[in-house]
Amino acid sequence: MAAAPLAIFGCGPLGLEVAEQLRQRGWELILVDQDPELLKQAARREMSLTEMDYTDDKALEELILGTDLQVIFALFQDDPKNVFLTISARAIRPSLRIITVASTQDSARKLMAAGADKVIDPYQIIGHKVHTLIRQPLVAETMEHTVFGRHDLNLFQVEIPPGSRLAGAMLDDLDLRGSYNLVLLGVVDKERGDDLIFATKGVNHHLDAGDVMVVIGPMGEIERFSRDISKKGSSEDSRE
Amino acid sequence: MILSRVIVKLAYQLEGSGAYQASKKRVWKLLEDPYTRERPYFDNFMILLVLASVTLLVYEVRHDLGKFVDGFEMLVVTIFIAEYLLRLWVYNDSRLIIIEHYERAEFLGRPFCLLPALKEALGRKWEYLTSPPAIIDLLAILPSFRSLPVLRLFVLFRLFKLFRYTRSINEFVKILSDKRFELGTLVLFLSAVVFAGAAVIYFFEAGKNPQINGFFDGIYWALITLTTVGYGDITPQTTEGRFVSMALVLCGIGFVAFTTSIIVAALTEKMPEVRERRVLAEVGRRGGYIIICGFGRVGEMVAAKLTQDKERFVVVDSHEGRIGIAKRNGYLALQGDAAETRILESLGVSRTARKVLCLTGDDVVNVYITLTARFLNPQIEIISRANHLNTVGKLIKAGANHTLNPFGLAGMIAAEYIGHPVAFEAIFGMLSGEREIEMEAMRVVESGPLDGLSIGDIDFRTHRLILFGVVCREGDPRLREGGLIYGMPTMHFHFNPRPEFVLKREDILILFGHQYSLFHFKQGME
Repeated sequence: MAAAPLAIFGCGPLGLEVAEQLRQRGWELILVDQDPELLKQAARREMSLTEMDYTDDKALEELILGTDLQVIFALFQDDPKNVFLTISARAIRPSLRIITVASTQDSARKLMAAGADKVIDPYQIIGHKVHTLIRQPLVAETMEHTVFGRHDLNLFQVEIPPGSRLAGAMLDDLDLRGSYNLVLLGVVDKERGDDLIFATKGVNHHLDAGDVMVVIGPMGEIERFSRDISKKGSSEDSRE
Repeated sequence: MILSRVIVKLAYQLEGSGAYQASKKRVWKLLEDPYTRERPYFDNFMILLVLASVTLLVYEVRHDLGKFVDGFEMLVVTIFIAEYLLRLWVYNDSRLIIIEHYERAEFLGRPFCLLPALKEALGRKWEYLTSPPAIIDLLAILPSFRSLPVLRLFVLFRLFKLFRYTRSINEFVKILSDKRFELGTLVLFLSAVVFAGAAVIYFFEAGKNPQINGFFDGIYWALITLTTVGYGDITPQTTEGRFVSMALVLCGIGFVAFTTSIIVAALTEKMPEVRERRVLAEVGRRGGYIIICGFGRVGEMVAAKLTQDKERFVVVDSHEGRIGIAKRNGYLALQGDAAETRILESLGVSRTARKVLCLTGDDVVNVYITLTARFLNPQIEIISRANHLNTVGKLIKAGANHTLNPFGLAGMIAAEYIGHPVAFEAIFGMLSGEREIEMEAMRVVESGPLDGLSIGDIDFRTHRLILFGVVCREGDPRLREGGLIYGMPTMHFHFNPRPEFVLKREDILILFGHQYSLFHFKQGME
């Protein structure tokens, strides 16, 4: 078993989908399930697999501590299984990041209580999307064809590195639209906490190293912007 | 010869007259069309009229109301006669029969014969006149001819007229007529027992019992005994007679129980069907419904949101328990297989329905429903759920306008969380509708405040909005000026347009913002 930073528990359709998405983004991962049938299906996709009983604390501990796991996905189709796994994994390593799915709002609350860091409710997302499609077909279509589509318009987060020329600047002085063709969606201002503050709040932020900006734009522009802000100094003349 | 020419000419004239056909159609809609909105008003009006006239006629038996009753009676009868004639008129199109006959004769080169054409046309009308509802209508008119006192009895037929206007009574009659074999057998059995009982009592007691003076008294006594009513005005005096009455009473209990059970069984058997008809009638009458096929978690979510928006929708699911949940929530729900052409058709997919949402958890079913709906209506918007990525292509081929892939989306979100937890929050917020940020589209109205304005002139900041981009029509010359353009079917999305970009009518701004800001901005600009 190779050292892998990610583990996915549950090889149902959702588990495989997440695995596929992560693999496309270049992450290494292990798929874990105790059902040989499901594993056989996953094997066809050429992924590294582990057959393991998640209720077995010893084996789980071995897996998490042995491979130095930092992130696990609990993607079983039954919510109780996810709750069980979340509780067991949280006990083994408190710093572990646990992402899981819930099929009802009720179990989402239970999963949060069990110690999951993030609970995704696919059905709620789809429900909201259907609603958007009905109420605002154009908005849904635009999103579909740009941010969530195969086009290169991306939602990206850019962290201001220490010593960046942007450190100390005011957010409003930054002309992201004009000079980079990027739309700023929000900022995480470390002075104010870890929450994303949407740009629509109309608050002018004082940017510091460690703050994170969330922008939408084409990949090339995002890369140019990240390159530019990591340049040292505070001069504004290096734009073009 | 001249007569036939005049009639043919008249038929053609009517055929060519739009006003004639429009008024006929309007009358038909009012009287017969089960799907119009006016029909319930008309039905209720007629019910009131019938009840009022019957009440008055009963009241009049012992009271003198003078001229008022006569006037009211005249009015009622006039309306009844008008209704009767109008129904006869809209029953079918005689002109078409005549025209058809005439054209057939022309085609064959034979002389046109008026007689068979008229015979067929009148035959069709006669068919209507002899149908049970029409006969009841006619009988309801008759009692006003006071010269024949017997006809006053026909007032009762006015009550029968109520059948026409109330659907529930109609349904009850239909249910009973479905059980006519059982009920018929029962009636046959009953008459045999009554006849036998009457014969026996007549044989033994006629002459000995002063109460029985004829065979009719025997029948009367047998029926009263059998139905367990037992007035006691005729009582058996002989031992033989008492034996017969004991047997009759026992038969009677069985008979009453049997009849009740048949009717109850028929009602419970037909109840789902009756409910289904109710839902269909409701959907058909109001129109503009969104059809939600599959009431799982997603269906429930969508239904809850649509209720908030005060949209009209109807839920279809084959699972009884799910339909039960939908009904408890007060939604219009229909139990059945949405993939059946019959169900989609009767929900008005080809007529009045607005959208079809296929949200079942089974991809095969979703594809099948999509295909069926598309086959029924090439224009209707179909949104379909694909649980596997492979199904997306199949759904598009089957005719879905939009597809949704819950696992794909969840996968994307989960994967995003690892690389960009902050960006993830933004996406997650927008996708799940939990965060306060929303996206909204805003159309530029011709010669409205936005028309002709350039992007740089609009102060999005003070409105606390973020401009995401502008959607323009295909082939717009402004798109060639450069900038990031993304193609969409029939339209183009211009990401982050430059400040010089001038808005034109029919452009659509895509904005981010809090829903209050969006609302405020829209109000200010419209």
